Amino acid sequence: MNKRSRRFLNGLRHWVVMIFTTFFVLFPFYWMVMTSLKPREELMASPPKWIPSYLDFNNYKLVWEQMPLLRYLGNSLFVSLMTTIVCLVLATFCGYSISRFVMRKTQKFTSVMMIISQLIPGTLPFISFYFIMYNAHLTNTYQGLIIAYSVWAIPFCTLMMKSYFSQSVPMALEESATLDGCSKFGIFFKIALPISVPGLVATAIFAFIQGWNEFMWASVMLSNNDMKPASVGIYDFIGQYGANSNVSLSMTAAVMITLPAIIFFAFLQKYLISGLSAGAVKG
Amino acid sequence: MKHSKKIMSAVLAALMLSTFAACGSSDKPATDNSGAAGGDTGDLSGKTITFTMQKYGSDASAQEKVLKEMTEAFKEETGITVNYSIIDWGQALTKLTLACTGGEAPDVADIFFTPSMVKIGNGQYGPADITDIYEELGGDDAYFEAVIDEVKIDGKVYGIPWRMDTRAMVYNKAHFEEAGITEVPTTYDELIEAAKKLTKTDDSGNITRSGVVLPVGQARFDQGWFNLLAGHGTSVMNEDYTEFTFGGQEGIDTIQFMLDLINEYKVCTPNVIDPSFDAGTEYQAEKASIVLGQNADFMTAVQSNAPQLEEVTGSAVMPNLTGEGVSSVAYTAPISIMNSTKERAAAEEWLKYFCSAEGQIKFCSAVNLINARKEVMEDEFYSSDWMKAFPEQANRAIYGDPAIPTWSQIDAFPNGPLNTMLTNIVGGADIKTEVDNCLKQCQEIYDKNEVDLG
Repeated sequence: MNKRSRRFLNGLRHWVVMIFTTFFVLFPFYWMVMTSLKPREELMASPPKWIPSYLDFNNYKLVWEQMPLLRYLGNSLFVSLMTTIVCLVLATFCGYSISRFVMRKTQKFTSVMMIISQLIPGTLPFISFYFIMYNAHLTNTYQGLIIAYSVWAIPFCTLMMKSYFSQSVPMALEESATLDGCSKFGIFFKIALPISVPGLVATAIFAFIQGWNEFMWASVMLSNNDMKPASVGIYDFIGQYGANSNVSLSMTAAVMITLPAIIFFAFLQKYLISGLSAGAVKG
Repeated sequence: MKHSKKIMSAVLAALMLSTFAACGSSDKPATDNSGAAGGDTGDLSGKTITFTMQKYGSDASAQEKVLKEMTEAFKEETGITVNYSIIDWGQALTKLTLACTGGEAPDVADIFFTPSMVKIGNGQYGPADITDIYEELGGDDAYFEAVIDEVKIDGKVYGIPWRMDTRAMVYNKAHFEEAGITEVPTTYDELIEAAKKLTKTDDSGNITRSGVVLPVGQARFDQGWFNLLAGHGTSVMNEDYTEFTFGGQEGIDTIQFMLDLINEYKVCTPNVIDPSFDAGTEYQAEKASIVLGQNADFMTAVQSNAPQLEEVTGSAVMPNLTGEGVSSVAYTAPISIMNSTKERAAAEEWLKYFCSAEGQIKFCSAVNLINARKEVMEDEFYSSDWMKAFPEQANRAIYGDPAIPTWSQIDAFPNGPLNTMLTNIVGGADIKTEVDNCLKQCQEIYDKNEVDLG
C-alpha cells in the first residue's frame, strides 16, 4: 500500500467514525424536530415516516396556547442565571483559595471531599433535603430552587475553577505583583480574574446548563405551576395514565426548550472547550 | 481601573444578595388561624384555602382553564379564595405524602389510596372524617356502588368520590368491517373469535396487527388483569377484605387467559412484556384492532396523535365470561379535607361546591373524566357515541382497589408482589409457583398492617 492510499484509508476511517458518531448523537434531535413538524396523521405511522410528506408548522403556534411556555422559559432562565451567578461567585473564591492557600494535607482534603460529594447519587439525600427546605420555608420559592441547584453545582464548579487557577495563572506573575506591593485581593481581582475569563465562562456554562436541565428538584419542591421551569413544564403533556397524550406538541415544546441552551452553548462553546481543557489536560 | 474592580465586586455581591432577597416570594397564602378545625361557620369572605389535585385530561391547558373558572366563580359567590395546584401524576403520591408528613398538606386535596393516607401520622395528618358532608351530598345512593368502599373506613367517610376510572373496550370499526365482523364481542369466546379474524401476520408468522391487546404500558399488567378477574367472576380479595382470593381456580384461569391470548391463540403481540410497549400507542399506530380497556380520555389522544382514526374508533362495554354482569373494575379519587387544615369551614364550602353535580359536570366534561356520581353520568355529555359505553361500564364494575391500608404496598409498581408475579408469569415463569409466592408475600404485608406510601 503506497503512502497516498494509506493516507486515504486513514482519512476514510476518520470520516466513518465521525459520521457514525454524529448520526448517533444527532438522531434524537432529528427525530424531535421532525416529530414537531410532522402532519398528525403520520405521527404514529408504522413503519415510521423518516421524512414527513409535508412540514406542518401549526404545532409551533398551538404550543403557546396549550401551555404557558413563555412563563416556563422565563422561570428556567431566571433560576439558571441566578444559579450561575451564585455558583460563579462562590466557586471562584473557593477555587482560588484552594489553588493558592491550601498547603497542609488536611486542607487538601477539602478537594477530596468535593469530589466525594459528586459521587453521592442525587436521590439519596432527597427526603432529608426536602424537609430542610420545608423547615426553612423554601419550598415553592425561587430561592429554594436556586439553593438546591447551587448545592449540587458548586463543588464541581469549584474544582473547575481550582484547576484553572492552578494550571493557567502563573504563580510568577502573582509573585511579581506581590513584589510590586499588590495585596492578595488586588492580585485576585487585577491578575487572576482577568486572565481566567475562559475558565469563568466554562464554569458559567456548566452551571447554567445544570440549572436549565434540572428536573428532579424542581418537580418535587414546587407545587405552584407559576414557578415551574421549562424542564418540568414539558411534563404537562404526560397524561394521567403515564402516556404521552400529545406527541407532536411535547416534541415542539422540547424544541423550544432546547433552543436557548443550544444558542447559549453555540456562542460560548470555544470558552467551554478552552476552559475545560486548561483544567483537564494540564491538571 | 481601581474603581472598576471595586464596582465589579460590589455588583457581584449585590447580585448574590438579590438572588435571595428579591427573586420572588413564597406563594404560600397567609393562613388565618381564626377558623380552627370545624369551628368557624360565620362569614367566610376573605378566607384563603389551598387545594391540590392531580393532573387530568390530555389537553395540558383544559384543567387549568376550568379550575380557574370554577375558583373565580366560587370566590364571587362566597368570597373565599382557592389557591389551587395541579401535580403531575408521576410525583403526585410522593409530593402529597411528603407534604402531609411534613405538615405542609393543602386544606383540600385530591387523594388516592384512602385507607393508607388516613393512617399518616397515626391519623393526624391524613384526610379528615367528612361523613356529614358525604351525607349532605346524597350519601351512598348518589354514588356508584363500586367506589363507595374506597372512601369508607369503619363506617366513616374520608373523602367524596368524584372522578371514576373504569375502562371500556376500544376497537377499530374499519378493521371490524374489513374482517367481516358485525357485532362487538360481549363474551371472552366471542372476543377470541373476533381477534383471530382481526389478527394479521407476516410470512414468518410474526404478528403485524394484533386482534386484541391487553391494556399494558411499561409492562404493567395489574390493571388489565383486575378487569379480567372481574370478568371471570372473581377479584383479588374477598368482599370483606380478609382473604386473598386470586389464587383460586378462577384467578388461575384469568392468568392463563392472558397467556393464551399471546401464546395459544396468537392474537396479542408478545411484545406486551417490553417496557416500551404501550397499548394505546399500538392502537394509534393501527397495530392493534381491539384494546381490552381504555379510559374515557383516550379519544383526546387519538385526536392529537392519530386524527385519521377518530371516525373509526369505537367504544363498547368490556366482554366477560357470560356476556352479562360485572366486566371491569372501577377506581375513584376521593377529594378530602385534610386534618391539618386551619380553615375547615371554608374548606367544606369549597368541597361541597366542587363535588356538587353541577361542579362535577363542569369539571369532568372539560377533562373527559367519567364520574362516580350517578346524576353526573346521566348528563348529555356522556351520551355521545364515544362516551355512552362508559356509564354502562360503570354500572357493570366492581371495586378496583381493596380498602385496606396496605394495598399501596401490595399493588406497588414495579416491585409489589402482584406486579412482580404478573411480569414474571408473562415473561415465562410457572403460574402456580408465582401465584403461591405472591399469595405468601401479600399475606405477610397484610398481616404486618404497616402503612408505607413510599
